[in-house]
Amino acid sequence: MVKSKDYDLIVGLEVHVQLQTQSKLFCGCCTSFGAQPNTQTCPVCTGMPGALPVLNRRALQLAIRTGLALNCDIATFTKWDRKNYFYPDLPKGYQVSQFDLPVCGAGYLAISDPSSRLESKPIRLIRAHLEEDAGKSLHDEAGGLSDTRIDLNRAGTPLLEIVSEPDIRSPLEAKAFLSELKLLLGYLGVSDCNMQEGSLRVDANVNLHVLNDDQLSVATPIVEVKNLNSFRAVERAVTYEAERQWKLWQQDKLTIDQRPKQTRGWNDAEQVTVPQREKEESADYRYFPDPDLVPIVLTADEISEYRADLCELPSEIRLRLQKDYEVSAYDSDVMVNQGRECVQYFEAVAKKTNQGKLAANWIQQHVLQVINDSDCEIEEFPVNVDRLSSLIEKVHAGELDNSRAKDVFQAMLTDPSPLEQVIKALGIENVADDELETICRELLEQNPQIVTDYQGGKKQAIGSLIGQAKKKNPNANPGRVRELLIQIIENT
Amino acid sequence: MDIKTIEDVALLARLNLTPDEISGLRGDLENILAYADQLSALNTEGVQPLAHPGDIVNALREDEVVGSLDRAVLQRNSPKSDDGFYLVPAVLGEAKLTQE
Ligand SMILES: [Zn+2]
Repeated sequence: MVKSKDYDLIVGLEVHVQLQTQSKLFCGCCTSFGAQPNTQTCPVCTGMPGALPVLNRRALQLAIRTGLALNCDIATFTKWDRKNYFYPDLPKGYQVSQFDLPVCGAGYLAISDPSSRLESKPIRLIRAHLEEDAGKSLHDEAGGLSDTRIDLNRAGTPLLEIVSEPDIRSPLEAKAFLSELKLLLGYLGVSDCNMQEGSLRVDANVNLHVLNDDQLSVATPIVEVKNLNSFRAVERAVTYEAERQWKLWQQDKLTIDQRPKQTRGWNDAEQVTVPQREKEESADYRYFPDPDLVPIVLTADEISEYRADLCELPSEIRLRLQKDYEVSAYDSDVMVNQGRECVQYFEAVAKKTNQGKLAANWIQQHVLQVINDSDCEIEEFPVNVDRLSSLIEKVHAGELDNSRAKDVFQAMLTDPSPLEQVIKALGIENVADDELETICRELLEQNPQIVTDYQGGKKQAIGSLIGQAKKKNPNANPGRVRELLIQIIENT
Repeated sequence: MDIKTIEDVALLARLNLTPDEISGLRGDLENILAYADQLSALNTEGVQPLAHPGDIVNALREDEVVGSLDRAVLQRNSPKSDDGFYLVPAVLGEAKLTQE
């Protein structure tokens, strides 16, 4: 782990997010994942001469929406540039990207600092720009096949590349940044962020700030770890790089200006980063404006309209739930992080029952536990809004004690009958007061010491009698039993 | 223009040049650059940089899927394909890591 006395870890992330559009960025080919190879291509995305690309309006809208949610300046003038390099899965010999005038300029994303759970820290963003994805190369190392197979279905799919400032200081912060970004993109409906399908890919720029022999703070050379495709891979690769660079620094004492930026890859099987062979000319992409694509001009009014259309963001919802329903910051965080559907479920239950805190407790401690263990979606959760609400109302009215309510909840997971029936099927019924009173009197007679203790000021002494009452009749309501016990003792 | 620059440009363009070709190209490239350099003589003070020579902006299309082109037709442009994939000479090593 990071030994803060030895060095400061400095991390910046570049996140490629696939935007949720039906068609590609510059042509009408379908973007759905998993089709037969090369069945979603056309002259535009295979780079045929003379083909004319035209920008997808929705991709631009999603980029602007994301930029606004990330507090970015939105460009009133943005254009397209060609990034030139040769690779078999890049049929045009260039990638259409944005060089000097990206659609989204500087912004920030606030993350909750993992070290002090809910305290917010802004991670500044340098920019976010639109670009097209490349195709896929399938290499057959094991089979000894000499050819590499190319599938261009993904070529031309819209990506938003979000670039952070090197504001991240630990592997945990890197993970928190990505989790918050993924959550935000989900709420915005911008991307499904499915990492298995490559909808979110991360490069991490990592180096250290260390003290040199003169006790001055210096930066070590930057290493870019490419193509991390899980949050865990990011966390581990950053941890690994920090330790590797610290060891290296102690040996070679090389600083940032003594060695150019290096590229490494993450080997998940071995849990190490490995150097990537550098293309000698890799730094020279010879960007120039794409003559086939015209610039985009946005007025301040249009940008304001986009801003007004923005949905409520996770950071705003967290605060609103605390304010409107008096739930704790922790509960609010857990529910918002679960996703929009969970928030809707909570709000519906909280409104129906008028018991925000109780609803949050039940969702946090019971509903989400089942959902996260079973991989079920909240929309299809067997205890729907109405059923959970009626259960919570019973708990609130004191008709069900907590432990019995938990039994009922468990039964409701498999029994779709109305609440009353589920309760009946469990043999739960209200015990009449006179019956409870009889039980209490018996218990008090059998335990004179407890009566003495209680009268002597040890009020908690009667706790053990409540347990005994439940043994005599499992339906005995603990709250009522306590009341009756006190009543009897104090009236004798 | 020095030889090294020509070699660098040739590498970027994936051209395998012989020493003879390089020395021939040296004169050609110097002529081309000198021709383009005439632009530098113009006084561009106060002239806004141009992002695109046309007057049009905001050419957009709706996000609608229109049919792709038949794979067999497109793959006629490819020297080698198999099982729906384009085949290219193996690009291993660094390639393995830059793509999943
Ligand atoms: Zn296409």
